[in-house]
Amino acid sequence: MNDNEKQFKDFVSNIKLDDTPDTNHRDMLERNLLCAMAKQSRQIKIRRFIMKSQITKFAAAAVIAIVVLGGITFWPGGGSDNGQWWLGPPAAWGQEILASLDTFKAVTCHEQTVFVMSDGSEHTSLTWNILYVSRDSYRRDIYDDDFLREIQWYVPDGGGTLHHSIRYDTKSYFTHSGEGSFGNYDPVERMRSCVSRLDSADRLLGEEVIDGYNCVGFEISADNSEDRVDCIWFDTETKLPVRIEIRGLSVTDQPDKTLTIIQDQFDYNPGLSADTFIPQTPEGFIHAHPDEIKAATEK
Amino acid sequence: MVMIVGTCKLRRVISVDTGSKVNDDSQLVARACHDSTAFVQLYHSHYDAVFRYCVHRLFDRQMAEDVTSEVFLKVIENIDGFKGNEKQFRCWLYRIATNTVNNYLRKTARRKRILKVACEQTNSRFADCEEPADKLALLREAVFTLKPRYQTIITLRFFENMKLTEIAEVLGSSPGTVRSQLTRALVKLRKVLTAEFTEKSEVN
Repeated sequence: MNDNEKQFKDFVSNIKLDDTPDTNHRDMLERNLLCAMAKQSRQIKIRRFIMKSQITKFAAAAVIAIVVLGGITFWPGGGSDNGQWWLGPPAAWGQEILASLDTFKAVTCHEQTVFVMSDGSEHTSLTWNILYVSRDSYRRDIYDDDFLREIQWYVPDGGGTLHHSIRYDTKSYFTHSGEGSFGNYDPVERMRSCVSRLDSADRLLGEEVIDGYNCVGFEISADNSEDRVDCIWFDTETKLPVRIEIRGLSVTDQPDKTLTIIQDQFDYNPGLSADTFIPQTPEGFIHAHPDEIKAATEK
Repeated sequence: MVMIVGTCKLRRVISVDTGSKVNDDSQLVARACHDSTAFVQLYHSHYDAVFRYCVHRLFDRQMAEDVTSEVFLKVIENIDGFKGNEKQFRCWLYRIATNTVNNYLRKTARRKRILKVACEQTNSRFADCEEPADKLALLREAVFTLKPRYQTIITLRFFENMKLTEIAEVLGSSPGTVRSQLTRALVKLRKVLTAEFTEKSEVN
Protein backbone atom coordinates (compact mmCIF):
# COMPACT_ATOMS: atom_id res chain seq x y z
CA MET A 1 0.00 0.00 0.00
CA ASN A 2 1.57 3.33 -1.08
CA ASP A 3 1.32 6.67 0.76
CA ASN A 4 -1.76 7.78 -1.16
CA GLU A 5 -3.57 4.59 -0.22
CA LYS A 6 -2.44 4.76 3.41
CA GLN A 7 -3.65 8.33 3.67
CA PHE A 8 -7.04 7.43 2.25
CA LYS A 9 -7.23 4.32 4.43
CA ASP A 10 -6.66 6.48 7.52
CA PHE A 11 -9.35 8.87 6.38
CA VAL A 12 -11.87 6.05 5.85
CA SER A 13 -11.04 4.35 9.13
CA ASN A 14 -12.18 7.44 11.06
CA ILE A 15 -15.61 7.40 9.47
CA LYS A 16 -18.42 5.64 11.28
CA LEU A 17 -20.86 3.96 8.92
CA ASP A 18 -23.57 1.75 10.42
CA ASP A 19 -23.19 -1.51 8.51
CA THR A 20 -24.50 -3.95 11.12
CA PRO A 21 -26.85 -6.41 9.41
CA ASP A 22 -30.45 -6.53 10.60
CA THR A 23 -31.36 -10.09 11.65
CA ASN A 24 -35.02 -9.51 10.82
CA HIS A 25 -34.18 -8.73 7.23
CA ARG A 26 -31.79 -11.67 7.09
CA ASP A 27 -34.47 -14.09 8.34
CA MET A 28 -37.18 -12.69 6.11
CA LEU A 29 -34.95 -12.85 3.04
CA GLU A 30 -33.98 -16.42 3.93
CA ARG A 31 -37.63 -17.49 3.88
CA ASN A 32 -38.29 -15.69 0.60
CA LEU A 33 -35.23 -17.26 -0.99
CA LEU A 34 -36.16 -20.77 0.08
CA CYS A 35 -39.58 -20.31 -1.36
CA ALA A 36 -38.20 -18.91 -4.62
CA MET A 37 -35.73 -21.78 -4.77
CA ALA A 38 -38.47 -24.38 -4.41
CA LYS A 39 -40.73 -22.76 -6.96
CA GLN A 40 -38.19 -21.99 -9.64
CA SER A 41 -35.73 -24.84 -9.49
CA ARG A 42 -37.55 -27.17 -11.82
CA GLN A 43 -38.35 -24.61 -14.52
CA ILE A 44 -34.83 -23.22 -14.46
CA LYS A 45 -33.28 -26.66 -14.68
CA ILE A 46 -35.27 -27.55 -17.78
CA ARG A 47 -34.58 -24.23 -19.51
CA ARG A 48 -30.86 -24.31 -18.74
CA PHE A 49 -30.54 -27.89 -19.84
CA ILE A 50 -31.97 -27.02 -23.22
CA MET A 51 -30.07 -23.78 -23.71
CA LYS A 52 -26.64 -24.94 -22.55
CA SER A 53 -26.26 -27.97 -24.71
CA GLN A 54 -25.70 -27.56 -28.42
CA ILE A 55 -27.49 -30.82 -29.14
CA THR A 56 -30.55 -30.01 -27.07
CA LYS A 57 -30.69 -26.53 -28.55
CA PHE A 58 -30.85 -28.02 -32.04
CA ALA A 59 -33.29 -30.67 -30.88
CA ALA A 60 -35.59 -28.08 -29.31
CA ALA A 61 -35.37 -25.89 -32.39
CA ALA A 62 -36.06 -28.86 -34.65
CA VAL A 63 -39.10 -29.95 -32.64
CA ILE A 64 -40.53 -26.44 -32.68
CA ALA A 65 -39.88 -26.02 -36.39
CA ILE A 66 -41.44 -29.33 -37.33
CA VAL A 67 -44.45 -28.90 -35.10
CA VAL A 68 -45.07 -25.36 -36.30
CA LEU A 69 -44.30 -25.80 -39.97
CA GLY A 70 -45.35 -29.37 -40.53
CA GLY A 71 -48.22 -29.53 -38.09
CA ILE A 72 -47.13 -33.01 -37.14
CA THR A 73 -48.33 -34.34 -33.83
CA PHE A 74 -45.57 -36.15 -32.03
CA TRP A 75 -47.43 -37.41 -29.05
CA PRO A 76 -48.45 -41.07 -29.08
CA GLY A 77 -52.17 -41.37 -29.48
CA GLY A 78 -52.39 -37.89 -30.94
CA GLY A 79 -53.90 -39.10 -34.17
CA SER A 80 -53.22 -42.74 -34.38
CA ASP A 81 -54.87 -45.62 -32.56
CA ASN A 82 -51.52 -47.39 -32.50
CA GLY A 83 -50.15 -44.79 -30.11
CA GLN A 84 -53.00 -45.13 -27.60
CA TRP A 85 -51.36 -47.74 -25.42
CA TRP A 86 -53.75 -47.00 -22.56
CA LEU A 87 -56.60 -48.60 -24.51
CA GLY A 88 -54.85 -51.95 -24.21
CA PRO A 89 -55.09 -54.22 -21.16
CA PRO A 90 -53.76 -52.41 -18.05
CA ALA A 91 -52.22 -55.66 -16.80
CA ALA A 92 -49.62 -55.35 -19.55
CA TRP A 93 -48.69 -51.67 -19.53
CA GLY A 94 -49.29 -51.42 -15.78
CA GLN A 95 -46.51 -53.94 -15.22
CA GLU A 96 -44.27 -51.87 -17.46
CA ILE A 97 -44.93 -48.79 -15.32
CA LEU A 98 -44.32 -50.68 -12.08
CA ALA A 99 -41.03 -51.95 -13.49
CA SER A 100 -40.04 -48.38 -14.41
CA LEU A 101 -40.80 -47.17 -10.89
CA ASP A 102 -38.46 -49.81 -9.48
CA THR A 103 -35.55 -48.38 -11.47
CA PHE A 104 -35.69 -44.89 -9.97
CA LYS A 105 -33.24 -44.04 -7.23
CA ALA A 106 -35.16 -40.94 -6.20
CA VAL A 107 -38.36 -39.09 -6.95
CA THR A 108 -39.46 -35.63 -5.87
CA CYS A 109 -42.87 -34.02 -6.12
CA HIS A 110 -45.06 -31.16 -4.98
CA GLU A 111 -48.04 -31.87 -2.73
CA GLN A 112 -51.02 -29.61 -2.17
CA THR A 113 -54.22 -30.00 -0.15
CA VAL A 114 -57.57 -28.63 -1.35
CA PHE A 115 -60.68 -28.39 0.86
CA VAL A 116 -63.94 -29.12 -0.97
CA MET A 117 -67.02 -27.54 0.66
CA SER A 118 -70.53 -29.02 0.62
CA ASP A 119 -71.57 -26.56 -2.11
CA GLY A 120 -68.74 -27.79 -4.31
CA SER A 121 -66.55 -24.73 -3.87
CA GLU A 122 -62.86 -25.34 -3.35
CA HIS A 123 -60.37 -23.74 -1.00
CA THR A 124 -56.67 -24.39 -1.57
CA SER A 125 -54.64 -24.68 1.62
CA LEU A 126 -51.78 -22.25 2.05
CA THR A 127 -49.65 -25.15 3.27
CA TRP A 128 -47.86 -27.19 0.62
CA ASN A 129 -45.03 -29.68 0.59
CA ILE A 130 -42.08 -30.79 -1.45
CA LEU A 131 -41.52 -34.52 -1.01
CA TYR A 132 -38.22 -36.29 -1.59
CA VAL A 133 -38.24 -40.08 -1.80
CA SER A 134 -35.35 -42.48 -2.22
CA ARG A 135 -35.39 -46.25 -1.90
CA ASP A 136 -35.15 -46.18 1.89
CA SER A 137 -35.34 -42.52 2.95
CA TYR A 138 -37.82 -39.70 2.81
CA ARG A 139 -37.87 -35.99 3.32
CA ARG A 140 -40.72 -33.51 3.44
CA ASP A 141 -40.24 -29.73 3.20
CA ILE A 142 -43.37 -28.01 4.49
CA TYR A 143 -44.18 -24.49 3.36
CA ASP A 144 -46.79 -22.07 4.72
CA ASP A 145 -47.42 -19.87 1.71
CA ASP A 146 -43.98 -18.36 1.04
CA PHE A 147 -42.40 -19.53 4.27
CA LEU A 148 -40.43 -22.76 4.72
CA ARG A 149 -41.81 -23.81 8.08
CA GLU A 150 -40.42 -27.27 8.60
CA ILE A 151 -38.22 -30.03 7.19
CA GLN A 152 -38.88 -33.64 8.16
CA TRP A 153 -36.56 -36.57 7.50
CA TYR A 154 -37.45 -40.28 7.76
CA VAL A 155 -34.26 -42.31 7.42
CA PRO A 156 -33.20 -45.86 8.31
CA ASP A 157 -31.91 -46.27 11.85
CA GLY A 158 -30.89 -49.80 12.71
CA GLY A 159 -34.02 -51.87 12.38
CA GLY A 160 -36.32 -48.88 12.62
CA THR A 161 -36.74 -45.36 11.34
CA LEU A 162 -35.25 -42.13 12.56
CA HIS A 163 -37.65 -39.22 12.33
CA HIS A 164 -35.89 -35.88 12.58
CA SER A 165 -37.62 -32.56 12.05
CA ILE A 166 -36.52 -28.93 12.21
CA ARG A 167 -38.88 -25.98 12.42
CA TYR A 168 -37.80 -22.59 11.19
CA ASP A 169 -40.81 -20.79 12.70
CA THR A 170 -39.93 -21.88 16.25
CA LYS A 171 -36.22 -22.45 15.62
CA SER A 172 -36.57 -25.91 17.18
CA TYR A 173 -35.92 -29.53 16.28
CA PHE A 174 -37.18 -32.92 17.37
CA THR A 175 -35.66 -36.38 16.95
CA HIS A 176 -37.50 -39.62 17.42
CA SER A 177 -36.31 -43.14 16.70
CA GLY A 178 -38.49 -46.23 16.50
CA GLU A 179 -40.62 -48.24 14.13
CA GLY A 180 -42.60 -46.38 11.51
CA SER A 181 -42.57 -45.15 7.97
CA PHE A 182 -43.33 -42.22 5.72
CA GLY A 183 -46.81 -43.76 5.44
CA ASN A 184 -49.32 -42.29 3.04
CA TYR A 185 -47.02 -39.44 2.07
CA ASP A 186 -44.90 -41.76 -0.08
CA PRO A 187 -45.85 -40.77 -3.64
CA VAL A 188 -44.16 -43.78 -5.21
CA GLU A 189 -46.16 -46.16 -3.05
CA ARG A 190 -49.26 -44.22 -3.98
CA MET A 191 -48.40 -44.64 -7.67
CA ARG A 192 -47.89 -48.38 -7.20
CA SER A 193 -51.22 -48.66 -5.43
CA CYS A 194 -53.04 -46.84 -8.22
CA VAL A 195 -51.34 -48.76 -11.01
CA SER A 196 -52.05 -52.13 -9.40
CA ARG A 197 -55.78 -51.26 -9.30
CA LEU A 198 -56.07 -50.02 -12.89
CA ASP A 199 -57.79 -53.27 -13.89
CA SER A 200 -60.77 -52.09 -11.88
CA ALA A 201 -60.65 -48.44 -12.95
CA ASP A 202 -64.10 -46.86 -12.97
CA ARG A 203 -63.55 -44.72 -15.98
CA LEU A 204 -61.07 -43.25 -18.40
CA LEU A 205 -60.78 -39.51 -17.81
CA GLY A 206 -59.45 -38.93 -21.30
CA GLU A 207 -56.50 -36.91 -22.51
CA GLU A 208 -55.48 -33.50 -21.26
CA VAL A 209 -52.34 -31.40 -21.03
CA ILE A 210 -50.93 -31.14 -17.49
CA ASP A 211 -47.78 -29.12 -16.74
CA GLY A 212 -47.00 -29.16 -20.44
CA TYR A 213 -47.25 -32.95 -20.77
CA ASN A 214 -49.92 -34.70 -22.81
CA CYS A 215 -51.57 -37.01 -20.30
CA VAL A 216 -54.24 -39.64 -19.98
CA GLY A 217 -56.17 -40.02 -16.72
CA PHE A 218 -57.99 -42.79 -14.87
CA GLU A 219 -60.43 -42.69 -11.97
CA ILE A 220 -60.30 -45.56 -9.50
CA SER A 221 -62.55 -46.12 -6.49
CA ALA A 222 -60.66 -46.81 -3.31
CA ASP A 223 -60.82 -50.23 -1.69
CA ASN A 224 -62.51 -49.04 1.46
CA SER A 225 -65.83 -47.87 2.82
CA GLU A 226 -65.04 -44.17 2.41
CA ASP A 227 -66.20 -42.18 -0.57
CA ARG A 228 -62.58 -41.74 -1.55
CA VAL A 229 -61.65 -41.74 -5.22
CA ASP A 230 -58.12 -41.90 -6.61
CA CYS A 231 -57.26 -40.29 -9.93
CA ILE A 232 -53.99 -40.70 -11.75
CA TRP A 233 -52.69 -39.17 -14.97
CA PHE A 234 -49.87 -40.67 -17.03
CA ASP A 235 -47.60 -38.98 -19.54
CA THR A 236 -48.67 -40.54 -22.83
CA GLU A 237 -45.08 -40.48 -24.04
CA THR A 238 -43.20 -41.95 -21.09
CA LYS A 239 -46.14 -43.67 -19.34
CA LEU A 240 -44.90 -42.17 -16.06
CA PRO A 241 -47.36 -40.62 -13.58
CA VAL A 242 -47.66 -36.84 -13.84
CA ARG A 243 -50.39 -36.15 -11.31
CA ILE A 244 -52.25 -38.04 -8.58
CA GLU A 245 -55.37 -36.81 -6.81
CA ILE A 246 -56.90 -38.47 -3.78
CA ARG A 247 -60.43 -37.08 -3.61
CA GLY A 248 -63.14 -37.36 -0.96
CA LEU A 249 -61.00 -37.75 2.16
CA SER A 250 -63.01 -37.00 5.28
CA VAL A 251 -62.01 -34.14 7.58
CA THR A 252 -62.13 -34.86 11.33
CA ASP A 253 -65.12 -33.19 13.01
CA GLN A 254 -66.04 -31.36 9.82
CA PRO A 255 -68.55 -33.52 7.91
CA ASP A 256 -69.50 -30.65 5.60
CA LYS A 257 -66.18 -30.70 3.81
CA THR A 258 -63.77 -33.17 2.23
CA LEU A 259 -60.11 -33.09 1.35
CA THR A 260 -58.37 -33.59 -1.95
CA ILE A 261 -54.64 -34.26 -1.85
CA ILE A 262 -52.81 -33.48 -5.08
CA GLN A 263 -49.33 -34.70 -5.88
CA ASP A 264 -47.79 -33.34 -9.06
CA GLN A 265 -44.59 -31.86 -10.58
CA PHE A 266 -42.93 -35.26 -10.34
CA ASP A 267 -39.22 -35.31 -11.01
CA TYR A 268 -37.80 -38.78 -11.62
CA ASN A 269 -34.14 -39.33 -10.71
CA PRO A 270 -33.66 -35.60 -10.07
CA GLY A 271 -29.95 -35.86 -9.23
CA LEU A 272 -30.22 -35.07 -5.56
CA SER A 273 -27.06 -34.71 -3.53
CA ALA A 274 -26.38 -37.57 -1.13
CA ASP A 275 -26.94 -35.42 1.92
CA THR A 276 -30.50 -34.56 0.92
CA PHE A 277 -31.52 -37.37 3.24
CA ILE A 278 -29.05 -36.62 6.02
CA PRO A 279 -30.88 -34.93 8.89
CA GLN A 280 -29.34 -31.66 10.00
CA THR A 281 -30.01 -29.14 12.72
CA PRO A 282 -29.12 -25.48 12.16
CA GLU A 283 -27.00 -23.92 14.86
CA GLY A 284 -28.94 -22.39 17.72
CA PHE A 285 -32.08 -24.50 17.27
CA ILE A 286 -33.48 -25.90 20.52
CA HIS A 287 -34.84 -29.39 21.16
CA ALA A 288 -38.63 -29.33 21.60
CA HIS A 289 -41.36 -31.98 21.34
CA PRO A 290 -44.12 -31.15 18.81
CA ASP A 291 -46.66 -31.20 21.66
CA GLU A 292 -44.66 -28.54 23.47
CA ILE A 293 -44.63 -26.41 20.33
CA LYS A 294 -48.38 -26.93 19.88
CA ALA A 295 -49.05 -25.95 23.51
CA ALA A 296 -46.82 -22.90 23.20
CA THR A 297 -48.53 -21.89 19.95
CA GLU A 298 -52.01 -22.24 21.48
CA LYS A 299 -51.04 -20.04 24.41
CA MET B 1 -50.97 -39.87 7.63
CA VAL B 2 -47.48 -40.35 9.03
CA MET B 3 -47.17 -43.46 11.17
CA ILE B 4 -44.55 -43.41 13.87
CA VAL B 5 -45.03 -46.28 16.27
CA GLY B 6 -43.04 -46.95 19.41
CA THR B 7 -41.80 -45.03 22.38
CA CYS B 8 -39.38 -42.18 22.19
CA LYS B 9 -36.31 -43.81 23.65
CA LEU B 10 -33.49 -42.22 21.74
CA ARG B 11 -32.77 -38.56 21.65
CA ARG B 12 -30.09 -37.66 19.22
CA VAL B 13 -28.66 -34.27 18.52
CA ILE B 14 -27.69 -34.01 14.92
CA SER B 15 -25.72 -31.00 13.89
CA VAL B 16 -23.39 -29.92 11.17
CA ASP B 17 -20.00 -31.49 11.74
CA THR B 18 -17.75 -28.51 12.36
CA GLY B 19 -14.68 -30.73 12.37
CA SER B 20 -14.93 -31.31 8.69
CA LYS B 21 -15.83 -27.70 7.81
CA VAL B 22 -13.14 -27.37 5.19
CA ASN B 23 -14.42 -30.35 3.24
CA ASP B 24 -17.99 -29.18 3.75
CA ASP B 25 -17.17 -25.74 2.35
CA SER B 26 -15.68 -27.14 -0.81
CA GLN B 27 -18.84 -29.10 -1.53
CA LEU B 28 -21.34 -26.71 -0.06
CA VAL B 29 -21.80 -24.72 -3.24
CA ALA B 30 -22.45 -27.82 -5.33
CA ARG B 31 -24.96 -29.09 -2.79
CA ALA B 32 -26.71 -25.73 -2.57
CA CYS B 33 -28.07 -26.13 -6.12
CA HIS B 34 -30.40 -28.90 -5.03
CA ASP B 35 -30.50 -28.82 -1.26
CA SER B 36 -32.21 -25.98 0.56
CA THR B 37 -30.40 -26.80 3.82
CA ALA B 38 -27.03 -26.40 2.12
CA PHE B 39 -28.20 -23.21 0.50
CA VAL B 40 -29.23 -21.82 3.88
CA GLN B 41 -25.74 -22.59 5.22
CA LEU B 42 -24.18 -20.81 2.28
CA TYR B 43 -26.55 -17.88 2.65
CA HIS B 44 -25.71 -17.44 6.32
CA SER B 45 -21.98 -17.60 5.54
CA HIS B 46 -22.19 -14.74 3.07
CA TYR B 47 -25.19 -12.58 3.95
CA ASP B 48 -23.31 -10.22 6.27
CA ALA B 49 -20.48 -9.65 3.80
CA VAL B 50 -22.83 -8.90 0.93
CA PHE B 51 -24.93 -6.58 3.04
CA ARG B 52 -21.90 -4.67 4.31
CA TYR B 53 -20.52 -4.34 0.79
CA CYS B 54 -23.86 -2.92 -0.37
CA VAL B 55 -23.93 -0.46 2.54
CA HIS B 56 -20.42 0.67 1.71
CA ARG B 57 -21.35 1.16 -1.93
CA LEU B 58 -24.71 2.85 -1.36
CA PHE B 59 -24.21 4.52 2.03
CA ASP B 60 -27.79 3.63 2.89
CA ARG B 61 -29.06 0.64 4.90
CA GLN B 62 -32.52 0.43 3.36
CA MET B 63 -31.21 0.46 -0.18
CA ALA B 64 -28.50 -1.98 0.80
CA GLU B 65 -31.14 -4.43 2.07
CA ASP B 66 -33.08 -4.13 -1.20
CA VAL B 67 -29.97 -4.75 -3.26
CA THR B 68 -28.86 -7.63 -1.01
CA SER B 69 -32.22 -9.30 -1.59
CA GLU B 70 -31.80 -8.88 -5.31
CA VAL B 71 -28.27 -10.30 -5.17
CA PHE B 72 -29.34 -13.53 -3.47
CA LEU B 73 -32.31 -13.95 -5.80
CA LYS B 74 -29.86 -13.77 -8.68
CA VAL B 75 -27.72 -16.35 -6.90
CA ILE B 76 -30.68 -18.74 -6.78
CA GLU B 77 -31.38 -18.17 -10.46
CA ASN B 78 -27.79 -18.82 -11.50
CA ILE B 79 -26.20 -21.08 -8.92
CA ASP B 80 -26.73 -24.28 -10.86
CA GLY B 81 -24.54 -22.84 -13.61
CA PHE B 82 -21.76 -21.95 -11.21
CA LYS B 83 -18.83 -24.36 -11.04
CA GLY B 84 -16.25 -23.63 -8.42
CA ASN B 85 -15.26 -23.82 -4.80
CA GLU B 86 -16.23 -21.67 -1.84
CA LYS B 87 -13.52 -19.07 -2.54
CA GLN B 88 -14.53 -18.71 -6.16
CA PHE B 89 -18.13 -18.51 -5.02
CA ARG B 90 -17.22 -15.52 -2.84
CA CYS B 91 -15.73 -13.73 -5.84
CA TRP B 92 -18.74 -14.65 -7.95
CA LEU B 93 -21.02 -13.28 -5.24
CA TYR B 94 -19.14 -9.97 -5.11
CA ARG B 95 -19.34 -9.78 -8.89
CA ILE B 96 -23.12 -10.19 -8.77
CA ALA B 97 -23.34 -7.66 -5.95
CA THR B 98 -21.19 -5.20 -7.90
CA ASN B 99 -23.31 -5.50 -11.03
CA THR B 100 -26.52 -5.21 -9.02
CA VAL B 101 -25.31 -2.10 -7.19
CA ASN B 102 -24.09 -0.56 -10.46
CA ASN B 103 -27.44 -1.22 -12.11
CA TYR B 104 -29.12 0.32 -9.09
CA LEU B 105 -26.99 3.43 -9.38
CA ARG B 106 -27.10 3.63 -13.14
CA LYS B 107 -30.25 5.62 -13.32
CA THR B 108 -29.19 9.20 -12.76
CA ALA B 109 -32.34 10.15 -10.94
CA ARG B 110 -31.89 7.35 -8.48
CA ARG B 111 -28.27 8.27 -7.97
CA LYS B 112 -29.13 11.88 -7.24
CA ARG B 113 -31.87 10.80 -4.88
CA ILE B 114 -29.51 8.50 -3.00
CA LEU B 115 -27.02 11.32 -2.61
CA LYS B 116 -29.68 13.75 -1.45
CA VAL B 117 -31.30 11.34 1.01
CA ALA B 118 -27.96 10.22 2.36
CA CYS B 119 -26.78 13.77 2.91
CA GLU B 120 -30.00 14.69 4.70
CA GLN B 121 -29.79 11.62 6.92
CA THR B 122 -26.19 12.30 7.72
CA ASN B 123 -26.82 15.90 8.56
CA SER B 124 -29.66 15.09 10.94
CA ARG B 125 -28.09 12.01 12.54
CA PHE B 126 -24.78 13.62 13.27
CA ALA B 127 -25.98 17.07 14.10
CA ASP B 128 -24.10 16.97 17.38
CA CYS B 129 -21.02 15.40 15.93
CA GLU B 130 -19.94 17.56 13.08
CA GLU B 131 -16.64 16.06 12.15
CA PRO B 132 -17.66 12.45 11.36
CA ALA B 133 -20.76 13.73 9.61
CA ASP B 134 -18.74 16.06 7.47
CA LYS B 135 -16.30 13.34 6.62
CA LEU B 136 -19.00 10.82 5.76
CA ALA B 137 -20.86 13.29 3.59
CA LEU B 138 -17.63 14.34 1.95
CA LEU B 139 -16.61 10.76 1.29
CA ARG B 140 -20.02 9.92 -0.13
CA GLU B 141 -20.05 12.86 -2.45
CA ALA B 142 -16.51 12.18 -3.54
CA VAL B 143 -17.11 8.48 -4.18
CA PHE B 144 -20.28 9.14 -6.17
CA THR B 145 -18.33 11.39 -8.54
CA LEU B 146 -16.34 8.33 -9.64
CA LYS B 147 -17.25 5.87 -12.38
CA PRO B 148 -19.02 2.76 -11.02
CA ARG B 149 -15.94 0.63 -11.68
CA TYR B 150 -13.74 2.98 -9.65
CA GLN B 151 -16.33 3.07 -6.87
CA THR B 152 -16.20 -0.72 -6.79
CA ILE B 153 -12.43 -0.76 -6.55
CA ILE B 154 -12.39 1.84 -3.77
CA THR B 155 -15.00 -0.08 -1.76
CA LEU B 156 -13.38 -3.47 -2.21
CA ARG B 157 -9.94 -2.12 -1.37
CA PHE B 158 -10.68 0.13 1.61
CA PHE B 159 -13.89 -1.23 3.12
CA GLU B 160 -13.63 -4.93 2.27
CA ASN B 161 -9.83 -4.88 2.67
CA MET B 162 -9.27 -7.00 -0.41
CA LYS B 163 -5.92 -7.54 -2.06
CA LEU B 164 -5.46 -6.33 -5.62
CA THR B 165 -5.46 -9.93 -6.86
CA GLU B 166 -8.81 -10.55 -5.19
CA ILE B 167 -10.29 -7.37 -6.64
CA ALA B 168 -8.99 -8.39 -10.04
CA GLU B 169 -10.72 -11.75 -9.68
CA VAL B 170 -14.01 -10.11 -8.75
CA LEU B 171 -13.83 -7.70 -11.68
CA GLY B 172 -12.49 -10.26 -14.15
CA SER B 173 -9.45 -8.12 -14.77
CA SER B 174 -5.71 -8.23 -14.15
CA PRO B 175 -4.08 -6.98 -10.91
CA GLY B 176 -2.04 -4.49 -12.96
CA THR B 177 -5.15 -2.93 -14.46
CA VAL B 178 -6.77 -2.75 -11.06
CA ARG B 179 -3.65 -1.08 -9.67
CA SER B 180 -3.70 1.66 -12.31
CA GLN B 181 -7.46 2.16 -11.96
CA LEU B 182 -7.06 2.41 -8.19
CA THR B 183 -4.41 5.06 -8.64
CA ARG B 184 -6.64 7.06 -10.99
CA ALA B 185 -9.57 6.76 -8.60
CA LEU B 186 -7.45 7.99 -5.70
CA VAL B 187 -6.20 10.94 -7.70
CA LYS B 188 -9.74 11.99 -8.42
CA LEU B 189 -10.81 11.43 -4.82
CA ARG B 190 -7.84 13.42 -3.64
CA LYS B 191 -9.06 16.48 -5.51
CA VAL B 192 -12.36 16.39 -3.67
CA LEU B 193 -10.83 15.49 -0.36
CA THR B 194 -7.83 17.79 -0.53
CA ALA B 195 -8.95 19.82 2.41
CA GLU B 196 -9.22 16.76 4.60
CA PHE B 197 -5.88 15.39 3.54
CA THR B 198 -4.23 18.72 4.11
CA GLU B 199 -5.75 18.97 7.54
CA LYS B 200 -4.59 15.46 8.39
CA SER B 201 -1.08 16.14 7.15
CA GLU B 202 -0.87 19.22 9.29
CA VAL B 203 -1.96 17.24 12.34
CA ASN B 204 0.66 14.58 11.62
